[in-house]
Amino acid sequence: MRSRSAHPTQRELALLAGGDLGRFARWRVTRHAARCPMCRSAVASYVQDRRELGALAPLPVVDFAALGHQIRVAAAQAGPRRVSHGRRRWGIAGAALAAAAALVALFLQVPDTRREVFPATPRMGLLQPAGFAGLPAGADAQVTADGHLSFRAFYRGSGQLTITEYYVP
Amino acid sequence: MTLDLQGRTSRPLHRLAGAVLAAAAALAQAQPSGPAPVAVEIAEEIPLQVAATDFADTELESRGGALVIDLAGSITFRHDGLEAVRALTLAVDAHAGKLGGRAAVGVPSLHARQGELFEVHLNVRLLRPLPRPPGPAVRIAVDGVLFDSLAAVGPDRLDSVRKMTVRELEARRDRRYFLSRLDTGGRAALVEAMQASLRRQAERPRLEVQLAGGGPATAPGRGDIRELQLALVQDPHAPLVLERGTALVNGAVSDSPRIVLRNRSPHLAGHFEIGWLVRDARGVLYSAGTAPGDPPPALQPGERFETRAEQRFSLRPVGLGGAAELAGMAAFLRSVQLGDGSVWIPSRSALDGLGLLDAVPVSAEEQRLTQLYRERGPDAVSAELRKLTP
Amino acid sequence: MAAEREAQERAGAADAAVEAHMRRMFRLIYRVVGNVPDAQDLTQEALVKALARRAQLKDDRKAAQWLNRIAVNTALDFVRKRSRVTFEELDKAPPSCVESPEQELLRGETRSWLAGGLELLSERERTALLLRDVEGLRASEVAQAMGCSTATVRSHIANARVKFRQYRGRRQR
Repeated sequence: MRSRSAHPTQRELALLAGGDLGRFARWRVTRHAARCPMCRSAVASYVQDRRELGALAPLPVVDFAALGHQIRVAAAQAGPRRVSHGRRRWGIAGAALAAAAALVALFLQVPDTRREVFPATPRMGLLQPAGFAGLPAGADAQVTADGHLSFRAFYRGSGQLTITEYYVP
Repeated sequence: MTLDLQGRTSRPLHRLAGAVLAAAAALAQAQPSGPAPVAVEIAEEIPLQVAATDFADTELESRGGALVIDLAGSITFRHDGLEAVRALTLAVDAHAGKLGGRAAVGVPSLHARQGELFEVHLNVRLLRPLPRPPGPAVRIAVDGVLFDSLAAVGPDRLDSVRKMTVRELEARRDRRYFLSRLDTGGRAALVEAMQASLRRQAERPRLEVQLAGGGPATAPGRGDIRELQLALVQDPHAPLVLERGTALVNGAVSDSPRIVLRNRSPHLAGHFEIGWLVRDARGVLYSAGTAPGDPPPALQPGERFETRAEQRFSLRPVGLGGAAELAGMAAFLRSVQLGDGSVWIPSRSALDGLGLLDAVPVSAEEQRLTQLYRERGPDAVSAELRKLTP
Repeated sequence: MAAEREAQERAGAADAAVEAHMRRMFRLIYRVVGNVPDAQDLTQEALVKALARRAQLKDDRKAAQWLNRIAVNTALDFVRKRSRVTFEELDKAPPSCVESPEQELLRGETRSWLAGGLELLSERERTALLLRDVEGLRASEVAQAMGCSTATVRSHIANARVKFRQYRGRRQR
């Protein structure tokens, strides 16, 4: 007879130490650790390891002003070469201004009306019938969503049913 | 540089910035869209030939860094084999390594004899990264073909043979049921059975239940977490017994269900699927979908197995009639693949006797037959039943 | 005059925004590659790349996440090509407070053995661990930066912490 080990796995204990377990798993593993000195000690060791990794936290001194200037120049040099045929070419100064503006536009919030092509990653069996971009369109297809990520379409005339399933890599 | 705090640039700057951005963005654009080159591949051992393809309605569009392919069209196959084809699955690939790059199109309830042509419709949206490849944007491969004897051929990279077999067994089960109603009670009995099925499909308690595997539940919890004993629906003819099961429940979210199963058949047992149901405070049962069990190495006769804790399911009923609490959960066996290659599914009478017929979705075949009834009436259904049932 | 002052304030706000993003990207890249010169070059490379791919950003409210992802991918590509990470700066990091020579020596030794442990991890395990346990990002933020799911990040972190523990256990024997 096969049975699962009563102790949480080392991976679960390691995740508990960093507060990275989901709510239910955290409840289950914490409940076990409260009664098990061996697992409690393992969690304490993982907590200690995390604390010591904190020694890597301080950053070296970096001249960010110089780095920023370098980046603006590099962006300006990259810009004019990509101008398509027929557009006026600017001098480096103008291009630097444009590149700087482009960087600013990139970093600050600018309203964008483009919509998502695909919804958030569906995992196995996630049901997303409404708004799913993959829904077949067409006057002769009737679509119903099943309990998992598949869609049934009926083709009038032939009466054929097809079941389309989308895969997550 | 003039820039207000909301990020709106003044006109000259906006034009300059826009020009640089547009130039850069132009690099990421694909070539103009046109008819998508589609390649259809059939492995040597598959007795099908492509007689015609029509993908004139297919569209390609560049969006950001992706090519969106709306594949619409059909493939006409000619069947050259001896045994009738009952089902077919096509693997449709634009870029298998990325989300949205791969789909499978299954066609159940075929009946193509030797020399006959049959058409398969496709309507699939796929994504692939730019740039557009020099060759075919989409490759369609026949992943599996199921014959009348339930033998199958094909590379079967998408587990399509097992799925086609389950659907074909369900189809035969449900066709036999409707045919028996026709044979015993005539046209009127068939009409009554069709209407009862349509009513069941319309009235089946619906709940948007999200069944998401592979990760811990992240929905914010409410109150205490409690351990729930699962109600296990036992089919006395099933090769596996569901002995006991638990799940953790917090409000309307369930996680970490575990079930202990025992193989009571004399055969090795492999892949199995569990059907999940949730019960609200009023006692109404809702289907929460089907999920494959953790496929164990083949279970010996008499052997027990517990589904692993990593196989987590978060059931998140949406719109649970205001009472956002899961009062109970039930599980039953939807299918089992046995060591001799055969597949078991519950009988219709067992589903009915166990009170599951009204809760679980109808099979693809039942849905197709009732759709045929709606469009062309009971005589068309009768003809279809006679044609497909020996 | 008021208009000029307003323009200057706006320019200052814009420059501050650029620098904030740049600093954040630099930090992420530094965590992956482990040394300042490479991190500086790669920050420049990542920002120029971001500019060229501006059209891919579909929702500007997610610009920070998108830039993080480009930063981490650029760094990971670099590490993959070079096949090793150089933790050269570990002993050059500034002390957080005035330390005695003994404390400074101990800190240097700690960093050396940490570097040894980190080199046992795969690139993605190391990246996930450093972004989570050193940089302090939430698992979901690490997932966005690495372009994978939160479940995958948790898996990398779990593997990394377990391997680190095993390494430490061997050193303590």
